[in-house]
Amino acid sequence: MSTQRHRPGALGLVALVFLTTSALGQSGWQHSYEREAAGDYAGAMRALEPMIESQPSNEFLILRSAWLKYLNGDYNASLRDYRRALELNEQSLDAMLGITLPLLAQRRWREAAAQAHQALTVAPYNYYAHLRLMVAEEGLQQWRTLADHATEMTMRFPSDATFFVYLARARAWQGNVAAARAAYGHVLERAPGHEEAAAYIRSNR
Amino acid sequence: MTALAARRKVLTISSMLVLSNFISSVVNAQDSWFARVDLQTFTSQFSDAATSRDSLGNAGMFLRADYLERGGFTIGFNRTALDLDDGSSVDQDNIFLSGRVALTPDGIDGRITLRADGYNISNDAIDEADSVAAGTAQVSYLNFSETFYVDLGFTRSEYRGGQALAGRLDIDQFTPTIGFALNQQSDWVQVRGYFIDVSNASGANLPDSTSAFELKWTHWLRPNGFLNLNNLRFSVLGGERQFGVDHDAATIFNLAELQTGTLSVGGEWVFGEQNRLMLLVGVEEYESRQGSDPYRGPFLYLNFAHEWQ
Repeated sequence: MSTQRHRPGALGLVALVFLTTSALGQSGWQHSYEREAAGDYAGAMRALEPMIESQPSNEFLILRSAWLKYLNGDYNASLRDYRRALELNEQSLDAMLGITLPLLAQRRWREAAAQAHQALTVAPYNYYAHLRLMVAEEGLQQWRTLADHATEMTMRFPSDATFFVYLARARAWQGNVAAARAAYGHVLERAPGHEEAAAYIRSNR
Repeated sequence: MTALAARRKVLTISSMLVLSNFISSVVNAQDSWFARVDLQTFTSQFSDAATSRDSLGNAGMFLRADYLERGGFTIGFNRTALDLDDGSSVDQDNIFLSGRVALTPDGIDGRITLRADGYNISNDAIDEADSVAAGTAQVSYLNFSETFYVDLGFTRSEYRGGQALAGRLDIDQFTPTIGFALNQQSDWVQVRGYFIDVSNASGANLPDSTSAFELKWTHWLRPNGFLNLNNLRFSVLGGERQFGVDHDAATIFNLAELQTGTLSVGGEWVFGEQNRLMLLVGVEEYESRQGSDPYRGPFLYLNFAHEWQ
């Protein structure tokens, strides 16, 4: 009898806890996104902390924490979170590509390139993996490698302006003005207001 | 060239080929390691009557290996020959070992590098020190946008043996350095101070302390520019520097002459992504320990570097 009398209470407690957590979670997510949109990345991170404490192995929470720490300039903490996310899910392209962000921010070009190559072994034509690899190649001043890489990507993504920008930069650093002008010309067709492309063509008529 | 010298040269070239094949295989096997080899030679002539020096020559190599951007080490070996007017010569070997660790702590907008160097020189001169050992600790900071650099280095050098140096000298050197980019990173200017204190200086007829400043300027050219050069370099050193240790060149100026100035200009060519050739010409000015008039020696420096990526 007493058990029966307490069962609804226990269920109610469980339900209350679930609803409260859920409600807190909902408001926590919402608040976090709102703070991020306002540029308050530390605030967006703080909004997640109660959930991180109760769900320390929640993959998405860890990924979001890594992203916000990256935006906030906490690059080492961001790296740790992205690596933790990759431990939890070795298939995660989000985590593999995420790791490149703080590495590139810290100008660790070779490490970022190695990470991008790892992502490309899983997803050979992933746009962001190629893009971040190109950022690393530019940082390493590997102009021939960058030119070859960008040429291939402009074939794979012919409507994209960004790969043409990297192709143009590589050609310009190689001293091939005609090829750089042509590539910047393609950029202006895809992004008519592109200042870098317009400035190069203006000064290399 | 004597048969012994020719055989030594062949052995040196074969050793370098073996070493370069070894490096290539290691780098290819593990793409987290990046290696670079530098081959260099330096030659200088002295025609001034104020010195007993006739010529100075140096040749050597450095092998640098880095694990991603986290740290690395450098091994160097250089042989120097100083020919004197009376036909005698001083030969010395310089072994260089260096290690570095790069740190990127949050809250600091740049990279901090901790570096430790060790030098060991042995020579066959009677007058100069029989052996020189030196250790350097350096901490440096380069901001992420690579527009500002600062470092502080400390070197303790120990000179042992040698009649004119009273048998034993300990030398402390502080080298504060600042560097910055100009003209949208087309130019880099670096200023380094050398503050050198000598123990037991009076016994060796040396000044207690010397100080000098060095200015280095590098200008990167546009592609297809002047002589297809990648960059132009200018360097000037003024003041007085005795027993100085140059961290950039990994060189100890251990012969007991007072360096009172250096002026050099040069440039660097880049071939592909893996090869570099640097040529510097300049003049160094010294005073002998006896306090005679300064004398000068024009020099030529050549460096070829190959990187494995």
